[in-house]
Amino acid sequence: MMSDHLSDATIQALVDDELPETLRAAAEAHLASCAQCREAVASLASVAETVAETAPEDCHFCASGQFWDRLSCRLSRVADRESPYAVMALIPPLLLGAAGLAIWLISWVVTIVTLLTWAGVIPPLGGLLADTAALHRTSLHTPILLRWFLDAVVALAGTIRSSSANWPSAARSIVRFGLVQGLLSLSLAITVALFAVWAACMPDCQPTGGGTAA
Amino acid sequence: MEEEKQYEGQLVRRANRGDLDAFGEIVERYRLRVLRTAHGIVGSSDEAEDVAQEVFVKAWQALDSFRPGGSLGSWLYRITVNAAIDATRRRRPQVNLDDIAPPPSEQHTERSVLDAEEAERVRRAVRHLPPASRAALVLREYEQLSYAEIAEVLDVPMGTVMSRLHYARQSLKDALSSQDLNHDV
Repeated sequence: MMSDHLSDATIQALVDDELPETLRAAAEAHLASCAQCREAVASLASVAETVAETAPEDCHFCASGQFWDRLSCRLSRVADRESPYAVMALIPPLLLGAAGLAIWLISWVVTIVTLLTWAGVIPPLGGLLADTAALHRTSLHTPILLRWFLDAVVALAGTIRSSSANWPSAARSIVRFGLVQGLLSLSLAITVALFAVWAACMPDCQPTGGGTAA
Repeated sequence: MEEEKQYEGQLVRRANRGDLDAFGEIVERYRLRVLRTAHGIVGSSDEAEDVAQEVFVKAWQALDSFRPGGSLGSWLYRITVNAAIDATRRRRPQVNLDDIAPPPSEQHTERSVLDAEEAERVRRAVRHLPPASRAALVLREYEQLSYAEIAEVLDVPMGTVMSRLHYARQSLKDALSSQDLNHDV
């Protein structure tokens, strides 16, 4: 775009020394012959210079050491630093929590299915459960708590399968089952809580020594 | 320049591992730049100190979001501009800045080129600019950043930087000349 005078953008770029070399020569040649544009450049440069001169001097601010003392005090109180280890710290409790929740849900499914079978609401799956449980409960690889749980399932299923089930025996099986179920849930909850506390403590382990800025 | 960038990258990595000495060096390198920028936007030394503290606390908390190979200066300037603009927005109630006299400590330490009254008049006019234009102007005039660097800090195209600067300077020119007229009356 050709015009009689330099554009505002060109004048500003000239003042800020941001005009490409290719355009600068032409702009300067124009300035040499145009008083109006020279005045515009001088006026804008004067505003820029005036603002630059109002920049606060270093002595306006508190001393470096004072600034750092206040800052390091604040930093030492910052507990929620987003460290790259924060997510890793959460992985063990999250995995354990997920596993615990899955086992807990399965145990309740087993419980409900067994009770529904006992009540005659659904076909007798208790026997099937008992047979599966019997396979695993003797395995050395099965954790002790899970073996206790399977023993309880077998006992309960045996009671239900028995055509001559008597109430005291059934009640004993149910109580035993409930105790094992509760113990299982409680131990999982305690383990997950311990891991969660450990993970929550991780950010506090950031060092809080002094810095070099003081 | 490249070595400087690499060294600052190392400082960031060390600080990110919790090394407060490395972070202290970052603070020392950028403290005055952050303070000047904050002062230009919020308009007072005390408030600029608070903003600068907030900037470095935020930087400490978000060190792992700093892009490796990026410019530490641009990153800190960006945090500063955002924190300073937030601080001006949080101010309440809105007072008429024309009625505020400069703090005594600032009255006698102006550069010799401008007297204290003149400098305060300019600062007051700067404080009346919209925050986006004010930030562009401060980064240009106080920090001498190039258009490209300002564009990176403010995360806007260079054309936007130029138009904000143009608007800011034109507004200042008008404001200062009208104040001159009022002063003369």
